[in-house]
Amino acid sequence: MAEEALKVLKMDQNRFVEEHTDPKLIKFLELHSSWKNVAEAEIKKMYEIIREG
Amino acid sequence: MKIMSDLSRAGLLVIGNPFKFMGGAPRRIYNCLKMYPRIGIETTLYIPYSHLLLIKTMQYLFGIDEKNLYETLWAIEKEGVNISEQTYVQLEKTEKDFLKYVNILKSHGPLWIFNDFVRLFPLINKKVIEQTKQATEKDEVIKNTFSKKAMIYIMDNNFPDWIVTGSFISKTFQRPLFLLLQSIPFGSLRKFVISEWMRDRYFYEEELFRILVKIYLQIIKQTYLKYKFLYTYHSISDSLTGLLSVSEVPLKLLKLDVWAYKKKKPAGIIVPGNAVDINFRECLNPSKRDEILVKKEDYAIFYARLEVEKGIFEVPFIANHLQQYGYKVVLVGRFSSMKTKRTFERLCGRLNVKNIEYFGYLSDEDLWKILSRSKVLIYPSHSDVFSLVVLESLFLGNSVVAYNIPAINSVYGSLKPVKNY
Repeated sequence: MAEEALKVLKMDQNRFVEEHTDPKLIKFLELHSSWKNVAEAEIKKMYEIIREG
Repeated sequence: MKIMSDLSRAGLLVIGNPFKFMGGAPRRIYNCLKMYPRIGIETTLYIPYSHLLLIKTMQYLFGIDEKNLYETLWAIEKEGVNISEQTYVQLEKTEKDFLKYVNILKSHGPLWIFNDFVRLFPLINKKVIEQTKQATEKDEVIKNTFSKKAMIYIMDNNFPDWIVTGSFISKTFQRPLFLLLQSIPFGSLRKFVISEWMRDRYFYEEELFRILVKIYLQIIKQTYLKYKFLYTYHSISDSLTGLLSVSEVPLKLLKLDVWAYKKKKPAGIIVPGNAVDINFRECLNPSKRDEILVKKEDYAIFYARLEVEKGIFEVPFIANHLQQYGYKVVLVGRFSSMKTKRTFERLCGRLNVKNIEYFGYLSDEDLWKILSRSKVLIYPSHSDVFSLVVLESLFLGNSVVAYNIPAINSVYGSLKPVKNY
């Protein structure tokens, strides 16, 4: 783990920025940026279960 | 949206603890509760009396102002959630009952209380049901909720009394029942014994006899917990409509996926299972994100509850390696005990680690400032369901180095800045 941390600390700044602006990461963060998304996901899952049951 | 309009006609009766000062799970319940009315779901909250008594004890032990309890309930009500009348009635009753137990403790000693609890234990489920029955018969808010065909939603699997309560209400009103898994109340006994042994023998350097006695008592406790929970799950299987989970971790580790399959109960993972506070949203604004990434400094951070389970004793070893290359490690949080703190300091001394800067417990605002400047979160946690620490760190532009535990792998495994192995 220390080695992995060291690799990040030594990482080239451009690569670091690239990793942290990666579209997949941004999409993931957007999804997790609102409690409304969580509440909607719960309700939708309940509805799916009821509908399929 | 059709789904939401169908469900808003149905409504939701939530069984849960929304007092966010009590930890991650209540915080999640608080945040979701506030959102249901905003997405058009008529929502009612019911907190079982047994749990209110526990909250009262926590409040007493940690010196939390009673005002906080009422303010939390009022904040939820303000967002449009109905609070069952019995929750307020029983909250007042807990005050009296709690003082009664404190007086018994003072006059008879802890052993008497323990014996009393052991004697009363078989009656607890019966007692929970009696109180719930009373609440459902008397409470106009709950009755009104069910006149609109509400569904019942138990928002944490960590408390058997919630599960018993939800199941009873579901059977009484013949309505669907959902259970959300967001905790691991019992785990693998083998792993548990190994980790206890490692902690006590190698880190705390305790005597062999004391360790063996402690492990023996813990095995009894863990076995008892496991059977208590399995019994509770089994007892509600008739009324249960489905299991929901904040990540695949509780389903897999508790083997509830197998249980659900055998019982023919659907189980689903919520995506997203968690979220951050609204302030984090601005970190997604491209110019703000660039600003954060440009201002990064070359140091690592670890923040969490500072305890063995979160990997606090691995931190000095990691810091020792980084020290050789001139990097520092920032440590934020509260030690779980003085023993843990002393062991941590002894380890740092033994390894001659001098590059750890300890900030103690910080307010959210101060923590975010330090976190937005650090480059990498070291997160040697051994156990998690869905790490909010990792999520917040990613928002603030930190790479994350963690073990390949199921919570990290299943939720964050495919993201470039997360290095798990």
